[in-house]
Amino acid sequence: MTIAPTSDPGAPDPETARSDSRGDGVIFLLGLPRSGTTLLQRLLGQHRSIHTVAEPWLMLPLAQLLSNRLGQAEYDSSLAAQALDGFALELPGGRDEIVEGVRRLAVDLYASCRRQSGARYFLDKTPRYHHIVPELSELLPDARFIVLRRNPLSILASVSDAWFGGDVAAALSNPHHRHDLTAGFAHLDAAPALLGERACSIRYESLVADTEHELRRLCTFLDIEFDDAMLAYDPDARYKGSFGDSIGVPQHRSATAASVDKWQTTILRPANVPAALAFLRDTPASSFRDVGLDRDTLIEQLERSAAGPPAPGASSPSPRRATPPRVGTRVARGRRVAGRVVRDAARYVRRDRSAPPGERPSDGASESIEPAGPAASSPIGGGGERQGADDRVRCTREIGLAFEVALGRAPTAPELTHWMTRVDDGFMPWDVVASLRGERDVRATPAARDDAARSMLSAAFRRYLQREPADAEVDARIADLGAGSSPWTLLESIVASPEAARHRAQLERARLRTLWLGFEVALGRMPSDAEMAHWSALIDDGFMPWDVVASLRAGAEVQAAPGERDEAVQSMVHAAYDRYLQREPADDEVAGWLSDLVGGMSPWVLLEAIAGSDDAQRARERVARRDDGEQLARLRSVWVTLEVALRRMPLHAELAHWSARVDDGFMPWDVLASVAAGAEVRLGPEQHDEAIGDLVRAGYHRFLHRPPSDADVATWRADIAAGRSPWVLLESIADSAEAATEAGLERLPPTLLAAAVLEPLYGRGLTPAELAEWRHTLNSRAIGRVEFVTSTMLDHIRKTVHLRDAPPLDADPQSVPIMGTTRMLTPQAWQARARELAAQPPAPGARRASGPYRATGQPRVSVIASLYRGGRYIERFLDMITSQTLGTDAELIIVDAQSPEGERAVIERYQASHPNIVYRRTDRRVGIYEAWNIGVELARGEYLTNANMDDIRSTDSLQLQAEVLDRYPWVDVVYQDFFYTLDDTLDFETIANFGFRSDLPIVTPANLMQYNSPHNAPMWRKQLHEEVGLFDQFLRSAGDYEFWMRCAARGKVFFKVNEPHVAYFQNPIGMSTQPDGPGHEEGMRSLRKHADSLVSPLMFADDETFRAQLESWCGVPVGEAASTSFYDLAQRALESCWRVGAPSV
Amino acid sequence: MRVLVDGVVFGAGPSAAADRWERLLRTLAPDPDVCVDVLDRGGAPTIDGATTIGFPSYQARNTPADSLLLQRVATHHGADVFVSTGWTTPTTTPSVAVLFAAALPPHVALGDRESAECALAIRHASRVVCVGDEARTVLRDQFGGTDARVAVEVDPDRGDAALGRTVAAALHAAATTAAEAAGFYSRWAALREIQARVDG
Repeated sequence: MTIAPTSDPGAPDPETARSDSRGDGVIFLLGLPRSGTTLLQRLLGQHRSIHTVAEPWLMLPLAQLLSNRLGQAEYDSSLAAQALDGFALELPGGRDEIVEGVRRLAVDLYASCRRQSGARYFLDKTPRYHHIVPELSELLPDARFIVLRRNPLSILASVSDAWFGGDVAAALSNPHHRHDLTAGFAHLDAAPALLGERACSIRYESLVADTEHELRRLCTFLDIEFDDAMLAYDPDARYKGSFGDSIGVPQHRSATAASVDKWQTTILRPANVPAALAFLRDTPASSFRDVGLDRDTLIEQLERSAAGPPAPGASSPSPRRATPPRVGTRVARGRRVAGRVVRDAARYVRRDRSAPPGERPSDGASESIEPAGPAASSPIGGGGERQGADDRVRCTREIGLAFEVALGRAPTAPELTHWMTRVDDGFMPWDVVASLRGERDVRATPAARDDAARSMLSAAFRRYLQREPADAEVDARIADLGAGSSPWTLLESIVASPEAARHRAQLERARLRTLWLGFEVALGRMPSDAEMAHWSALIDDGFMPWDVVASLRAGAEVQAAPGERDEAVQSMVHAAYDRYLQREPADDEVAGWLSDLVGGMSPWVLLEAIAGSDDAQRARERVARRDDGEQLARLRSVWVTLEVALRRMPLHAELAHWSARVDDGFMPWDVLASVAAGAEVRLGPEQHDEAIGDLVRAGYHRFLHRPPSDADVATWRADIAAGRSPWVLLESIADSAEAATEAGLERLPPTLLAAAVLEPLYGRGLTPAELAEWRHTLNSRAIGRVEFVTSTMLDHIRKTVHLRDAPPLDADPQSVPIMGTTRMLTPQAWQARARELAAQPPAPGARRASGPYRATGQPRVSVIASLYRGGRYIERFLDMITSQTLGTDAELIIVDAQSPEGERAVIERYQASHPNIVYRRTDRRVGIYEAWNIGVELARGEYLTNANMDDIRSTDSLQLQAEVLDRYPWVDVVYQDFFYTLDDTLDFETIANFGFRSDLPIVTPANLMQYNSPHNAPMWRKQLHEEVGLFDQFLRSAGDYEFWMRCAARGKVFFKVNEPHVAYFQNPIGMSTQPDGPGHEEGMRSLRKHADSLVSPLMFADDETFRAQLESWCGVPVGEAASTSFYDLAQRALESCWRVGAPSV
Repeated sequence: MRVLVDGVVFGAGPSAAADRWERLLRTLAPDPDVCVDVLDRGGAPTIDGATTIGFPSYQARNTPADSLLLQRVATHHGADVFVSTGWTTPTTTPSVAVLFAAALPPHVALGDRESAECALAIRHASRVVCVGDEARTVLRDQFGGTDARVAVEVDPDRGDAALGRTVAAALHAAATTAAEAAGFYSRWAALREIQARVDG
């Protein structure tokens, strides 16, 4: 039942006459969601002098007319505020007239509602009014305010229990509730002082402890007599409207203290304590004092009770349960957006189409659509309850969704008829799904029922709300089913929700707009109402915009051919540009839209995007300004000047003040100088020249994020000297194409922008280090984004031209950078060291000896060597391998790639005494990686290593590597530091004494993008090839590097052996040492191929998403600074993690 | 109790701090209740009664990856407690930080990667043993002061045996935190993993 007015609605209203136009008859009940406002409303609502309904939310949009601080809209709210200010200037009473008008509207609406009951007061209980206390005070200065306070921990616990399954961290991380749970307390703290005698504060704890006393106090405040009826209420009754507590209040008939200490159950769960502690520390102490609590004592209590976070797998809620942002999805979308934005850097007509869908206001659960309540007449299993056309529509809708879930398509008419019949037989929606999936009519099992219901709900969210549901939204509906809701009304709360209505309205508007333009393009006129209805129906049947145009042109309903489609789209884009932007589109703009359509953009939003673009907005402004005269233009000029001077948006008062000064003759440079000086100053004519320069520089800094060139400044000086108004100077900069593009590029995460611009230029993926550097640079505004794009491209062009014209590199093939260090090994350094060793030979045996190796007699390690022109080295190479401590546990596989130097004879000689040498000569000349792949196929060992003819290894080299793979089954690749040599005649010990040693890092995907650490004689598990594939035999020099990239991308583990046991000969004629060899190009190509897999998607997250990811793990805020690197933010998170949950002894 | 000691201080070559660490290890190794494994990042001494385990040399680059690899090795060898010299940290194995002023990262106040890692080592540790007033001063002045975990401030002149007893007590105490602080360690590991992914 609903709560009806307590007296005859038609009766005379003696009380109403008492209200005046300043809100005397209005009571605002201020309190945060879940603080007991519904309870107090119920109690007060029992009084015959007080009329109330469920939350009206009326004053929120009205208050927005007085202040643009209250939130964003799909239109630009700052422009709206600016326009409204301009409008106010046109009113005789100025802004006061707007306030008065809004006041009249509010008072009339409240009085109209109150008049139904003849009550003296209308009680408006809307918890989100805590945002607008100052505006309420100004709008209705005679209204009464009741400020309800409650223990903040009780509120936090109640919010967590009601909407987040008791997960405090999830409640605090929810963007909507976070506002209530942070700013909300401060707002209510400030309210009593702001409202003075118009407000009466009451504590929830006092209300439930001594209800009569508190209500009597409120009655005195309201100047009405206490009524015993206020002490109880009907728990089954509901106020008309959508919102209010549907959880606690309906469980009782009067105020009860049962909930006062209930918070402890939720808050003191170990998993919740860290987040609750952070909440306590962030909430003003006054919010606790006002309800008789001491915040520090509560903190101590929580810290004492914190027995440590729960063990993994514990069932209590943990921060992990707060769903982390889906970074991967964002990156994929972001990359597409980034590519498009950069491609279209010169065109700037689009606005951000990725804005999240609007929010539905609700008491506390603003992210969720409230599920439909249980329908008493439709228990589960009662399929025969459907009646009437509405039921049939619902049934059709559910069957449609069942088809979508089960078969991914809509039902045909015969199928629909069949299933409607089955429904009449008692089939439920999940039975339909189960039957479709099983291809025969069956009843779903309980498990299949839940699965089908969940799938259908998800499909309904996607279809009607264009988004995925939150888990809580699905769970609530499943719970409703369990509580007796009819399955045939399952979707109604979604379909009938305001959010769905908003989506339908948007789609309808887009369709209408497209239809209009289709008529204009095809017939050169607007459609009639009848035509609109006709074509709307066809659109419902699947007609696309191009079909409409083609049909109108053909005079019959036809589907457009592909060529007609593109032509129709182009014509419509032209028409839209002409109408909304007052200009022709550039060719690349038209091509861009066509490309977007091909890429999946809905044709119905195309024209919306154009009509809603910033450029269209400016076009409208231009028209408005032209039509409305100079007043608004001047206001805009003052606004822009102040924005530059203040480096932020000006306040209303500032705008009014400086507009008056401009009326007095202040020039823009006077405004700039005054703001800088903190006092009003007027510059003399002799200072104007310099002042123009300052003005231009400030404007460039603000809107273009770059300094002007000297020529820019000179041009402006000349223009103003020639008589151009200085007032248009900054506005021109602000409205420039570059500024618009800059603003558009600002919307991209900096890493995405950098990747989109630089990766095509570099021909490879950016490394994480480069991404981090660009993120810092762009966030710090050291360079504007347009300047970044243009200067980067220009630099690249210059470098390309320079490289083309430069003489060939004359690199010394005998010099080599020592990997992992900043040092170079040069012939000079080598010779100097040789002289030192000759003068003072090193003591032998400095190297740690390996332990004895117990051979198994079976080849465990396969050494793969590609042979081509190795005659010079073959004997030493064979000696080196056959003298390994692994002995016969190592086999040597030599793949002779048709070497012309007759090494075979030498090899056969060694084979006679070493049967574990395998020799295979190919029948054609093969590349090194094809040879290796042949070796992999031949290998019998579980571990593989490659060897070059000029490699030099210590005798225990293979043993050292194999032991690591033996010891750590989770290691996939072993590599090592190594010694360099410029002399290929030396043995390993001598080379080691030279001491030119690499210092390789632990291999990570990131540093593997910078250099190929495992390149020299690594050992790996043969099994890797089954998982990752063979070497890319079409590469000539970087096949191993490309293979390691694949391994790293798949999370394979690399382990470095510290002890160098191999030497690397810097071969002056080797392929990898040639400056014009293929290695560089192949490496770049491989990086381009694998960058997406090697760079974590986190690197492309925007700051907010990354912080949310961290906070979901550590449970507390980690800070806001945009210039802080992701690495440092993670460091902060680790510190925060320690603060809230450090181990103690 | 199996203890994994990171021998990072030996990687920089002979020093007074390395000598002191070697003496400490020689004191701990004979303890029948303690099984000591020493990670050899280069230059680690052979200690009677202790096992030497090869591990990649320390670099200030890629420290989160180093930490994740340390944890793999600690888990593989069944370490109950990790002993940090203030340079490195595992993720889910409880740790004790033993701080010698001379063996702490240089430029510890400059906010570089090493000092950040030192801060993490101290935060992660269930017990912090400051050897000497200077180490205690560093801890107090540069890492936000001492807390209840720092139960010991050892006078270096009291000798190796006294230090060995103190460290052994700290190890036993830290080993008890594994189950109790499992939630903390798992969150730490997750954050460290994230940090590794965004480490250039």
